[in-house]
Amino acid sequence: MRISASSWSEQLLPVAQLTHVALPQVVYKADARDNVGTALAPLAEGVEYPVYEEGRGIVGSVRPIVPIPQWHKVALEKLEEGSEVRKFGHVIGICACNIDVGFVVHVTNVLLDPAFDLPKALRGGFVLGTATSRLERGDFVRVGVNFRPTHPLFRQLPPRTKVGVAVAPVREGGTLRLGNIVEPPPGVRLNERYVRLVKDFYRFLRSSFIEFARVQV
Amino acid sequence: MAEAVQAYYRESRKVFGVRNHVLILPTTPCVNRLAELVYEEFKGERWGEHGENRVVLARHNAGCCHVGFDLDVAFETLLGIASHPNVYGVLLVSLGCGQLCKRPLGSGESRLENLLSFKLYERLVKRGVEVRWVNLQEPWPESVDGFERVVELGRKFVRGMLESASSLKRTDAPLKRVVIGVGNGASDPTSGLFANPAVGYVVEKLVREGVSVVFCQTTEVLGSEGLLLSRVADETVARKLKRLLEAAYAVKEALSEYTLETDPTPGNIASGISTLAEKSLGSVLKIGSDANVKILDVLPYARQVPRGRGGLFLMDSPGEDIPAITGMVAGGAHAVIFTTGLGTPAGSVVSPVLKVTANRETYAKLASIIDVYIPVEEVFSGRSLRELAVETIYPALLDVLSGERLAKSEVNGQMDLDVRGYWLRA
Repeated sequence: MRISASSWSEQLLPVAQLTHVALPQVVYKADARDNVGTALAPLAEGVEYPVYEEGRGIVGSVRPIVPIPQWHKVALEKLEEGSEVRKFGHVIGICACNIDVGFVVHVTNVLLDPAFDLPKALRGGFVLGTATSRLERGDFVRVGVNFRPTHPLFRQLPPRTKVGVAVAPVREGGTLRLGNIVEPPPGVRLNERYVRLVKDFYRFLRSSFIEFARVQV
Repeated sequence: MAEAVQAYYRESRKVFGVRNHVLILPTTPCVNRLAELVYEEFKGERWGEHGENRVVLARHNAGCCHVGFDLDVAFETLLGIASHPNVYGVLLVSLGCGQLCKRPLGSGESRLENLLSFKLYERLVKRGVEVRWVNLQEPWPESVDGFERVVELGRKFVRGMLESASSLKRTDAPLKRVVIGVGNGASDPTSGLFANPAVGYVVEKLVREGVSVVFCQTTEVLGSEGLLLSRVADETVARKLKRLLEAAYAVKEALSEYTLETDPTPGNIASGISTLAEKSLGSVLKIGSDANVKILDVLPYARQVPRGRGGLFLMDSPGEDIPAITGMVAGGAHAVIFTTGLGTPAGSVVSPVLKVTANRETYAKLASIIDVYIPVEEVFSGRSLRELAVETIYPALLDVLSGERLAKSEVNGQMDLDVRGYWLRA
């Protein structure tokens, strides 16, 4: 099924519609150190758009190689797998694969199998479907095994087809997403003993409430 | 030359207030309606050069059945609000049996055994605040209707304070004697991209003037530890900040079994936010991006913010708008700059809350609750966001501080107060 750029943007969640703001069709770079820019309006594939940098005006241009929805990020440089994605001058994510200039930059928890074409898949939206069981990092995502597809491109696939590999843990019922970057590690190292204490506290609370609910008065 | 604003000097407290309100504060939620009855007589009254001062009523939900630490927080918050520099005087409307109620001693009762019930009143007196109180559970004579008597007495006390308050005049006050809070809520992509960084430029300017700026919403700074840790003034602050973030992460991890969706939410992701780091940077950038503007301390909820330090203070607070604003105001914020994308009417009972948006559609629809629109479309005709922010937000803030302009939250009579709760109540 071929989906046009306009119908594709209509498929996004209503939130994107709600926050629609009429701004020029440009890419906004918030800081000079950034390697991604934000699309201030939906951008079409193959058209050249100016890049505005805060305080400096137009600093160049970019030609998207996939349609970019409003407020989504577009790569301004070629990004290597494992390198840092910078916005506002700070690291906002780590590349899960190589990203070409003009490609959309968005979060993923599934690295798509090479048998599929990411740009083609992205035309159907960012949401792949839901996880039917908990996925750990490194688990294969297979149709009908641990994954129920909702994405138009994957809905008709036979059971057990390998769609990709999980690059982040997903809870049961969680949403599997297409994309190309992952969350950077937290900037503070957590004190494990402290985390365990807090977890135990909440486990205790939960178990006491369950006990309490069972009491017949 | 250092900037100056017009403010009310309070001799007894050695502080400048940017408003001269008379506050009616119930000490427990049970008397919220009683306090409201006292307030109703003064609803329409305004005084001051620009009619910016009024009698304000702080309805809230705290003051009873707190356990341990929760009580300290409630006490500190109500004390902070009642002794706020913008408050000329306060009427405590007390029930009698609440934890923070001042009540008369019965026969055989000693003051020493009831220290807590005097604490709020006495601390206010000690801080030099004009304070009156009425108590519902007084041993009224049988012929007296206590409820009506309290309303009558309360109105008399407020009338008295109002008369002396209205004779006070504004004087020149150095801007650095003012504390400003910054926050954000009902956000959309324009908040993270334009409104918050724009406020950041204003914060940088304020800090250069020597103003103490407080920001909060701990849950919303998770993910931008790198930025925050690069901005702390010294090792002690770094340690405090790490502990605060660790605690927040630990609770989040412990609760993540319950939360159905992780952060960023599906709505965030659909509107282009990819990671928690990106989301929180969009929020945290309201402290500016100048590396010389340092975080001077990490404060617990509602703790007094030191004045005139020319730096940033991070206050631990929940992410919800009203408790966050309440915390900063209880900490002494004279005014709050609050960014919004979708629009929120949030305000504070004693301080003006200046709402800022970069979303033109929202501003067009909700101009009656939003003060400042940052004309972001001008960014694309050669203006920088910094210029636009300093041209729009900064003068509006000075006007609001001097009382020449009322914040929309004041015009609409937003008297919001919500004390942070620690969930367990006896």
